[in-house]
Amino acid sequence: MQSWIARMGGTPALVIKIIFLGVLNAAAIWAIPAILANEAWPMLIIIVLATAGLDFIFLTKRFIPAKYVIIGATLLTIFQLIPIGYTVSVAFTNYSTGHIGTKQEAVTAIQRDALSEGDNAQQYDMLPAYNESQSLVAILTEVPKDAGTAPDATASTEPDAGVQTDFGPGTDTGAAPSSSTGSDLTSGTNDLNTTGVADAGSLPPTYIGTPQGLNLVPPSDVERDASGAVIGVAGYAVVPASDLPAIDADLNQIRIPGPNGGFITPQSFTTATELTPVVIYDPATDSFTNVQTGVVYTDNGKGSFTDPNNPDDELLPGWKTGVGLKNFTSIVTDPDIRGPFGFVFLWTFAYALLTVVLTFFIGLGLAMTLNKPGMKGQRTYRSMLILPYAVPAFLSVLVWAGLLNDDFGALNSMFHTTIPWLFDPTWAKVSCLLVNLWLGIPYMFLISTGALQAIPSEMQEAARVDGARQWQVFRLVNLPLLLIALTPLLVASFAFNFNNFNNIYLLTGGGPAVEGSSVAGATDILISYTYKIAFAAGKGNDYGLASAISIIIFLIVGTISAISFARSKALQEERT
Amino acid sequence: MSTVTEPGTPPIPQQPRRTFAKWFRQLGWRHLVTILALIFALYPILWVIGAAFTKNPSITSGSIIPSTPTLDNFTTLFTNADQPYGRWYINTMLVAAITAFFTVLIAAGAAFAFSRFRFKGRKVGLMFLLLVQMFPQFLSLVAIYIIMVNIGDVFPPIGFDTLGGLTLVYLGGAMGMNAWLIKGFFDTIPIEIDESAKVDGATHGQVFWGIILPLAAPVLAVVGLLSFIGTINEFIIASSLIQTPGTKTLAVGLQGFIANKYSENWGPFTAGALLAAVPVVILFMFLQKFIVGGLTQGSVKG
Repeated sequence: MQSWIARMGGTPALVIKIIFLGVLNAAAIWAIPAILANEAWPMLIIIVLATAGLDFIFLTKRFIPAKYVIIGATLLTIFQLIPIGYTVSVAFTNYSTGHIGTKQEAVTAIQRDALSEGDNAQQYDMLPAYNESQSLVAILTEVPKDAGTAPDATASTEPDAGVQTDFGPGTDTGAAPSSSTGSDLTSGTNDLNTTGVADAGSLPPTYIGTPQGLNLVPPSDVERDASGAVIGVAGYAVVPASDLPAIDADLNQIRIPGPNGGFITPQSFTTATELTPVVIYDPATDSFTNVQTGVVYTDNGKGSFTDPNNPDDELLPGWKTGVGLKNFTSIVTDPDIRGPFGFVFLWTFAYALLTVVLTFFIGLGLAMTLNKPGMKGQRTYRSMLILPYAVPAFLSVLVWAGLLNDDFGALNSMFHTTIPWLFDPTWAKVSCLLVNLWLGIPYMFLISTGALQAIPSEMQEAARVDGARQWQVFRLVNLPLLLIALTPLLVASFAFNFNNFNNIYLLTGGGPAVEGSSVAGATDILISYTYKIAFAAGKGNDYGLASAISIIIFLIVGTISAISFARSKALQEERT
Repeated sequence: MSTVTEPGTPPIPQQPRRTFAKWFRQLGWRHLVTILALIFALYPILWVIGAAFTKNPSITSGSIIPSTPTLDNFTTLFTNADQPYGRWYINTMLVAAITAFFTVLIAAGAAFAFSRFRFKGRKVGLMFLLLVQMFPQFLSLVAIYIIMVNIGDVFPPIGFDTLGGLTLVYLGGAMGMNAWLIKGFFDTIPIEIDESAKVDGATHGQVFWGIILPLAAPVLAVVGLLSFIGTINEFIIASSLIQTPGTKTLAVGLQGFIANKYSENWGPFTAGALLAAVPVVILFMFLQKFIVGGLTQGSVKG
């Protein structure tokens, strides 16, 4: 066994090294065209540096220690250091829902979305259809402005700046093309056709609307039914009415540049209107002006266009920009964040500290209980007591979540109680601790047993000879020795539970909800709170604030660990 | 408690009651306390085992032993096409085993460099590893997500939504504490052993592979096992980077399977939990001696 391992240092190791470097370089070269095509410059730099670095270190005869560190260090850099650097940089920005892209993208999006129906807006009958390449297009037929019935429809749509008319399937499934509700413009077309069907030359023009604009369809390609209404265009597959609700979201995205400088936008499954921008961007002054109210929106320096006279009046979306320490100061100054942060902060400390103290003393107590020469079944007891530590924790937590379930949890039914284990703020905290005890005691039992057995028995006997009672022996001899040996592990356990995301998230999800806090729940610890701020749906994602709290967590855990480390001897040994 | 007032009683004269009292004072209460602790520790485990073999177990039922044992839950578990438990199982074991194996190699390599060589930046490097470890990897999830999507554009097999990519992300955290733990052990191996081997013409590679690693087997087993269990337990990165049902790991898959569906899926869930736990528990018990040693190693060594 040892001999073949020993040979690893010779030729086989060289072969492995050459194969590894060969594959690495081949992959890097193979990737370069794709990287160039994607214009992923940071990635190019990383791959070139990493490959060159690995080649150099493994091929040179110098830098021997580096050969043993370089692979781990490369992975550490790509998957931990760079993400940490990115997170730190995000902490000083307003990166969040509504502040994702660049300023240029925000200007484009505002111009595209802040639309309203002006006076005299051109109305269209619409038939959604697919072209030959299966892209969704709109077959649009002009509704003549003097059609008489149309103004009713116009009046019913409020010109509402910045608000997209949403026609979900729930509200509009009944409006099939044949329905004749007052706002349905199809009926307008029919009226028109019944009065002027004789004059084929005056039929309103039909267009194919694409994101590029309108293309006039030659009258010969337009397919009409008996009444003259447009039902299709040669070469295009009209979407059946029954399928329209399914493509509601896609329809909502349609913006067709119209002939009057606006965007033709669907208003229902069968109608569209050319909407004109409510706000006009002026590149010279870098501001938007509302054409209806005259309000001027300027760059507020915080990633939004706002009305200087009314800073809360903001055009959406904004863009991602640096905000300095705002994310950090808002934890103290913003009442909406300060409140939840405060109780989450306290509970995190309480949770981690109580877990360590309770598990340690119970675990130590059990270890001392079993630490009795001549006790029968010691080995069996020990191996059974540490079973919970051997079971993967995520499974245990999921099982406990079932056991503690209020309605049909086994714990309540066994004791004939109706305790809201997971749905009352106080009981949920108790449950979190209870489950953590179950998970943590075996570990503390394990390390206490090891440390107890390492205490020289002469010391205890000497104390007893000097007249110390059992309790005094424990308090004055055993406990101090145990604490010296185990403090680093207790600190590590504290740090672990301080960030014990799984136990909280899988047991209570951070819940139950707390009044006055939309994000943080009663059992949320800092790390699950941070996760919710960054990723939870609902209130939007605030990556900037989440990153700032991540840094605070890091500082807390880092400080505590550093203090304990400085006090332990682990580092002193390094000075030799 | 008359026994307490007569401390000088010689052990020979005895009444039956007194013997029991004495036995209880010395040993009996220890059994009692331990048994109470065992009830707390084992109840959920036994309960899951019982439910796994019960047809349509009620989560309410306090009874542990199934009246008519059946394998129905296991059949249900493996025949549900929407929840490919078998795939999750293979995925998890594969990712965990590969992660554990390379974690040991990476951490042992770093430990070897830091333990056996004196080079510029060594102390800083060690402190740096410790520091980085305190920043939980998943706090930078947004960045990891973006990186994985970008990698996926160029190297699809190790990008977003792949097990290869997930493994690489886990390996990013392989050094850190593990390197420290192993280095602590390497430091206890006398350097004279290396030196005499080098005198005999061994290269640094032969010293590492042939001498140090075999001698450090116990601590390598601990690091490997802890990494294996840690990977199986990892939930949050996996749930963010994996989307396809067939690519999920057990933690992500079972969480989605059971969350908010305790009453419907309890039976198959307990069967799945049992199957997932058994190999880990066996491995743990098998390596228990090493683990206890390894856990206390770093601290007691001082």
